[in-house]
Amino acid sequence: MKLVSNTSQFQQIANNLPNLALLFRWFNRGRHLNRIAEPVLWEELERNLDDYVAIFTALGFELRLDGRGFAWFHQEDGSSNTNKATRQLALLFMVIFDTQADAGIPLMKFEHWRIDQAMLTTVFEQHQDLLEAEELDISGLLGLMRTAENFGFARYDSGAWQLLPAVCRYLDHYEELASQVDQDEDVSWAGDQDDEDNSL
Amino acid sequence: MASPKHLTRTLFEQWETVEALVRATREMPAFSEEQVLAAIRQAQPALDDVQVREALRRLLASGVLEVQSRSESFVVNAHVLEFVRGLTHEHELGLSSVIQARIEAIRGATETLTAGIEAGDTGQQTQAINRLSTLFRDIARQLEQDRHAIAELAEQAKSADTRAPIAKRYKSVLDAYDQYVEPMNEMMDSGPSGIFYHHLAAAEDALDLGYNRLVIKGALYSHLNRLRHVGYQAKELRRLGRVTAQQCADLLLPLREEARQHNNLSSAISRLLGQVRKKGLNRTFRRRQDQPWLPVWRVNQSRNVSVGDEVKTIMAEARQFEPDNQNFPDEVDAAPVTIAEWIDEDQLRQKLLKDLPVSNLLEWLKLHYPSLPDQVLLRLYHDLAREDQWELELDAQSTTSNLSRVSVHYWPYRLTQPVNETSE
Repeated sequence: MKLVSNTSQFQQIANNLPNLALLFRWFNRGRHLNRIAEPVLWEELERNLDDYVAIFTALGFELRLDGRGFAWFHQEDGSSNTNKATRQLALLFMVIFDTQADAGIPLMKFEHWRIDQAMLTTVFEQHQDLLEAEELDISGLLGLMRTAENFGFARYDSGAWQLLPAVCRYLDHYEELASQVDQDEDVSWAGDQDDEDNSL
Repeated sequence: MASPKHLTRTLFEQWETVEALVRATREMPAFSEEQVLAAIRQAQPALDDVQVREALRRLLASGVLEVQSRSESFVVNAHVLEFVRGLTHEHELGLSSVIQARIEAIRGATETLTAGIEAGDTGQQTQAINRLSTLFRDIARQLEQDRHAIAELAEQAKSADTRAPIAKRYKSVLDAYDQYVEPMNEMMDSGPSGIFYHHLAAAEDALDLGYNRLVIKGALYSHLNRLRHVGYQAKELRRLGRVTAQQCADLLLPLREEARQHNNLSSAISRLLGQVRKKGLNRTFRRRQDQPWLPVWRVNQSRNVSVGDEVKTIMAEARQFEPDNQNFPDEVDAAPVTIAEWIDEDQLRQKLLKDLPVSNLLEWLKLHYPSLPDQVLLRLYHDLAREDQWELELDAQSTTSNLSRVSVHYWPYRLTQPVNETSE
């Protein structure tokens, strides 16, 4: 990995990277870059990956690349706004995936789903109680889809959204989070019959 | 009997422990002392041994926990159990036959109400109305609880271990479908077998009829109001029943038909959605130290840099800047109002009364108020001509008067003392 040590060297590298400014702005807004959505930018990023990583690292940003075809600026702790957005997006993807699972649609082919108003209406109807408790209606779901679009989890095309591979970041977490819930709700202490004899 | 205030206070202080105990009640009805202590330790890890024992003592003293008769184990107070389950949506599925029995009871109460209206017996009516209201409330509450219980069953089935055989996984769902949803659907049916629909419709009719009768006959407002409110309850309940039956069927059908995709991902999602339903989104995805959490990403906070006033002062001093004096413009009066248009009309009328008879009203005005603009003068002329303080007479001869800007061609009014006023 080349480390940028002086200005002229930086210039030289930067001259070879015509999309540096564009990519930086893209990631810096919190957007995920998806291979299938932005093939040209992705190709450029992958071709000069070492240089990009070096420059972004020097600027204090951690670029992460996932083999399933998406990249983002990583950070361990989100701001309060990001935390709120990520909770809501987690919920959005959960209700969409749950609805699709009920319909018997294979979940891992989520990139082929067409998410339009009709589908969001079905999603809303199937989770009405829960979504209303979170103060979300159909227009709220539409708003969340736009948020997802802003951060590079979906793209809007001819009247419907398409989920992008970056959604895998959420899917990776769901199982782990569910096992955490199991730990929290663990009532194994109640199954402990042996202690009963020496109680009191 | 525990004091209610004391009990709710302990419930507030020991909520986490009680919640865990109530959840565990599904698996075992009574707990040993060791088990309760373990539950307290898990819910409040910060407590030391003495504090844990103190917490147990308080739970017992306040009546949240009770010692089971003829044994040394503890049970959760039945009221607390019901209350906590209601709040945390951890209900067991009720029996459809309970709802059925309550609906049958509606029929009895409706008959009492009809008889009370026929006989004009207010006491009997009130009794029947109260009974109906209680029944409606109980049914609505049970429908709500059952809906959550069904959702829970569905979530359990959906989040069950993927390796479990399908027949085992969906056993509770199939049972719930056959024992609850099917009978409910039968009850909700609008055909002859649907007792829910018919009894409620009959109760609504009786309430409407009673209301109309009493409005015609006249009754106390509060009594009418009660009747009307119970009528609303009945209508709402009919809607709720239909919606609940529909939702329960929607929830269970994909499972019953085994159409649902079942894998680790969908089961994890169901588990999490169940938590969101019971606890809300923020409590489900609470951030904890050293635990994996939802994905986050870096969003740059845009920062604006602007020069502070201090810097401006320093720069001004360095460049020996002297500010120009800018004088504020003097105050300008608002558009001048011509005082000439103002006139004391009462005074004018009195003057006119004194001068009666006046042969030509307009000429009189012109003479006494020469400074008035034409439009004011003409307005006064028309106003005065319409008043009945004086007798008006129209001259046979037309005449022309020159005012300040216009000249008027008209038949002048002659004003004289009115007859009745002179007599007074």
